[in-house]
Amino acid sequence: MNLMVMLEYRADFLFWGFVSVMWTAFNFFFTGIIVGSSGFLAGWNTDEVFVLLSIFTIYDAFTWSFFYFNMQRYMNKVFTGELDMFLVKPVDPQFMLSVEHNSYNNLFRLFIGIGMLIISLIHLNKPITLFSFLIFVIMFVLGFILTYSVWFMFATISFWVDRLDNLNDVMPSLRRLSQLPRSVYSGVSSFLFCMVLPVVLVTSIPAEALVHKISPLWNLYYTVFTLVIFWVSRRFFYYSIKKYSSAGS
Amino acid sequence: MSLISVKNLKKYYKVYKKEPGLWGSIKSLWHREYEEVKAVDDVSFEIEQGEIVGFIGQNGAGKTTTLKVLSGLLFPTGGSVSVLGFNPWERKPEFQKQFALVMGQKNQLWWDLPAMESFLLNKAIYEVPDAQFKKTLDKLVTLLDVKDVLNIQVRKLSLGQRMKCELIAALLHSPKVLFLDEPTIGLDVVMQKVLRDFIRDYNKEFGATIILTSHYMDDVKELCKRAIIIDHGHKIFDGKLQDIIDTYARNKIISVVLSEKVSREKLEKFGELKSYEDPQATLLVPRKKAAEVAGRMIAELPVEDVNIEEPPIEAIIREVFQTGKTTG
Repeated sequence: MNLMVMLEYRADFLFWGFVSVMWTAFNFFFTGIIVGSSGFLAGWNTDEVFVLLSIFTIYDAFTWSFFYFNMQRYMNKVFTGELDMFLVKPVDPQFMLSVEHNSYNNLFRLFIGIGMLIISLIHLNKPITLFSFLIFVIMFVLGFILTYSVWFMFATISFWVDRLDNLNDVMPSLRRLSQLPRSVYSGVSSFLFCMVLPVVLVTSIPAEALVHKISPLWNLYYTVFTLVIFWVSRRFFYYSIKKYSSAGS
Repeated sequence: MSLISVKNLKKYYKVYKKEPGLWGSIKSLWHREYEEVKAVDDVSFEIEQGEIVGFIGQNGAGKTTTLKVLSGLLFPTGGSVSVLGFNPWERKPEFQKQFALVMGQKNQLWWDLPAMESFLLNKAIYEVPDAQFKKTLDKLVTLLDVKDVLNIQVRKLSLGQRMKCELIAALLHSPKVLFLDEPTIGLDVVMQKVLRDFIRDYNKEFGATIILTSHYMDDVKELCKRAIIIDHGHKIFDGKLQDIIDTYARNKIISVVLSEKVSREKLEKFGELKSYEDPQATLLVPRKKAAEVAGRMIAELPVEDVNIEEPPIEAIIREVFQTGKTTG
């Protein structure tokens, strides 16, 4: 449906494509400058960092496509009372809220990310086994689940407060942390963003599977944490929904 | 057991009261006063299958809140609710497939796409079989005469066309229970009549149970035999629409046509003179004395014609709200 809506306004679609391409190109360019001078970044060489950055680009294209607008609309719906129409239908309201409005404006970035990932892997010249590829896919999917769950919990706070416009920008701000490998972070920042709210892991863990830096313990922690947080986000939603007051007619 | 059963329903909200002006806004940063609003307070009623019941009340009386609790949108503060044998708050799909909520001021159709796309989405959500979908859609489209607008973007439709499409979207799964919240709001009189006729036909054909809220008394008068009046969250009347008149109308209206001019003072002896434009006068007289007063007027005045009638139901309900009468 959203694709159909978007194609009704094709100029808007094409301009979005142009902006996305430019944004991604700059991102690779500047990361290349940071790594390029020494050839290494916290134990990762340029090609490995580009693998991670490619994964970030794909991940970012997906999150912008599927999460940002849905979460924004979810919060608005709670505030304006439009959630009514979701709650009366015989379908999981959390599912409806999460998939209602997909934006395909980032399709271009997705293709660039996939292209850069293939080029970086060829350049890296390390063999990819079926096992490492499977781990990559599973960890990559878990990254979405983790991001989705945490973002959804932030959005669910809108049942408890009258209005918090910036709530939807918390996760987009944090996602920038995952543009770099987890080994870059140390001390408090490592504890916060790799353990407490492991946003850094959403790109590092899948990238590690492809560049032969896999760490079973971190993979296990990441998997358990993600599944628990997904369960918590659902419980939090169904608990918070009791606070829904709709809006006057 | 009744199809809809509501016992001692309560829905309270906490709302924050802000002092006016900039200083009030600044103060509200560290101190806020909250007030409990009793949107619905201890309301009970039962509705049988096939009934059309009108919810009457002023703005903020609690009508829409009650409908939202019955639809499972709002978690009740207290009391118990059963619709089709389900607790609405549990929002079980088996329950949700059997009712529809139509709100005149909110739309469920996709704004940027033709209504047909929303119909197809609802078909998938409600798992309506292809044959049933086609049959129901054809029927509804014919009844509401919207064949020509199904493939036009919703945002380009008139309010009346949109409302008709909203109704179709809500009825595609043939719900047994229909909650209609101000379905005719903003529509012209012709369109109001079309929708009313449609709602009546739907009730007859499908045996659907319908609760209707409306500010237009014509909607309630034409569709509902039974009315529930809600005021400030309390139910103050539940019964036949005609009984509202018997219960609350204190006066009757006597209209007389006079063959000669009579002074206003003389007319005022018989009751409250509402209007007098020679040769016609209208008086309000106590209900119980209406016949006797009319008899006296015929005997004492040069009356050519006399008519005794009930006041309009709108006027009675207005008086009910103004005096705040309650009944069990």
